[in-house]
Amino acid sequence: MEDDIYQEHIMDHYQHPRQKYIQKNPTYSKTQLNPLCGDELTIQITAKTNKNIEDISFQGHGCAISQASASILTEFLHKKPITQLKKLSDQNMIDMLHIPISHTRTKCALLALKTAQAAIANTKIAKSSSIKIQKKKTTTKNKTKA
Amino acid sequence: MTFIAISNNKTSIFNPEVIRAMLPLFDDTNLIYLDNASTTPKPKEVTRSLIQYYTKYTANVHRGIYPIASIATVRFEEARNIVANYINASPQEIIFTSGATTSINHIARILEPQINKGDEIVLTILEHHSNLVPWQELAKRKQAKVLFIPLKKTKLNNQTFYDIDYVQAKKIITKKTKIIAFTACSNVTGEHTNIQLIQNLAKKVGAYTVIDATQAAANNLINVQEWDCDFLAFSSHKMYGPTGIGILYGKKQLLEQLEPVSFGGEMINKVTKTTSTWNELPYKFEPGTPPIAEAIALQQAVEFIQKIDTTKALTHIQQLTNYLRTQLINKNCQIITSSTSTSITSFIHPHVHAHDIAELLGQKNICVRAGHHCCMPLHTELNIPATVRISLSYHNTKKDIDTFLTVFDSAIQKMTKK
Repeated sequence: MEDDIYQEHIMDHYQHPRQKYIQKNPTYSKTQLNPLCGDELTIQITAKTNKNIEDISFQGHGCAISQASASILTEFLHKKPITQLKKLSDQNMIDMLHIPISHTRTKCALLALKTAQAAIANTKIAKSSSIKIQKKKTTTKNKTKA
Repeated sequence: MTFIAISNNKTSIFNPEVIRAMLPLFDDTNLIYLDNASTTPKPKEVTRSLIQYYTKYTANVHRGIYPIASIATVRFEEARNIVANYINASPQEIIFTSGATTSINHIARILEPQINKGDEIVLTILEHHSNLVPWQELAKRKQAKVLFIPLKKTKLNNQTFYDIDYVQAKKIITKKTKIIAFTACSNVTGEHTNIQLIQNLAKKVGAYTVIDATQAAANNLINVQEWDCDFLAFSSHKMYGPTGIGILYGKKQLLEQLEPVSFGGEMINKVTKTTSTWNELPYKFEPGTPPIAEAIALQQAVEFIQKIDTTKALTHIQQLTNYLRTQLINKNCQIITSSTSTSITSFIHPHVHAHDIAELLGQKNICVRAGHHCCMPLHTELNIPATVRISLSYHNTKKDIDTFLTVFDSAIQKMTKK
């Protein structure tokens, strides 16, 4: 029972969150709840289709894990292609936190990712572009291997 | 608030240390268990009883005529008698289910034919989801309405109390009210409902009453004769018994009149290709093989509680609760409580989230609950996202509270350190 989930980097993101602000005219915005603990999180994204995320920010309240993961995720995605957000898996998110996440805290750790992905979920263009890029990458990889 | 100990057991004891020695969970001497409203530790006799059934006389009840089937049937029915006596009911009124949630779902189904379009079902805003969602669903099916009795906020000696607003209750309960379903004791605020008052209101308008007695069960407080409710539900695992078994109590006269909602073996009298008739009470409402081992073990749990001098024990728990609250208030915590609360303390810290507090306590083997405790409408009403809940029982000591307070301080320090 090590006291190891509130590590320095988690506490730093929790107490000094990056990207925690309101955008006036975001392209995408989504609010989700974690019904287990009442955490509420809004993710706002400004991005043109197929392009890099120009701005990504979050607002809301919750435990240190949900707040730190929102800060870490939004910092990571800032200026990255919007397709990168689509492709992130739950495990990718947990890996980004660099702390052991127990079964009961998984929902806290994934709230930001789930909200951000839900924000862009209904954008058909983003979906197809994501597949397109994946294909391109696969081809490149295969070529390199060959 | 007065406590009625139904048992007059002469060998009654009360010493938390003696009680701890009877609970193998505390063989781990570092464990501090403060989540008794969620589930309770299990006495040795309960686990021994489960093992005995599964190793010495594994047999179905009411069927086989060989010796072990006879032993199983006798013990199973003896358990029913003991449980009936524990809540001052008759054995025919005790129906074994898989838990309080199932009991309430069944009660809602049993009462469904009595509900018509436009009828009203009244609940309190304190209700656990298990005594809320089944009524919402019933209302949807029958185009009935669910109404909530709100809480009243009062301030006394700088502390805020949230209690059921009985003035509002009198206005909300009308001739349209067909069912009043309410908790005997809230699992968040710890409020002990004024059952008599609600029963009187129900009688005036001819409404059925359903009591969720889950949080009252371990405290030896249930008395269906005195409460005069039509139906009542509770779970075994919150009163030192095994999981997977609960009680549905119904007044004999009503259970005789109302139709069963679940069908199969054992609950029938005669079956033809086209129709069936029902068995006598309580079997009419117990289709299939019941939780045999669990019922017999529940008897052990009842007898464990009956050995405890519950009047003395509840005074002790109240004193511990008062001490805990004074300390938490000094640490700037907001206590979400009722003025009648005795063993449950839900609170929020102004700067640290409930889950982080519970996590850091958990790392030191201190078990508390964090969240909305299956009472989302209540948390929404009070405009609080999540609370930490400490619920005490017979085995808790002042040392438990002091250790909790020390670890709590370091948790707050850790989470607020800049």
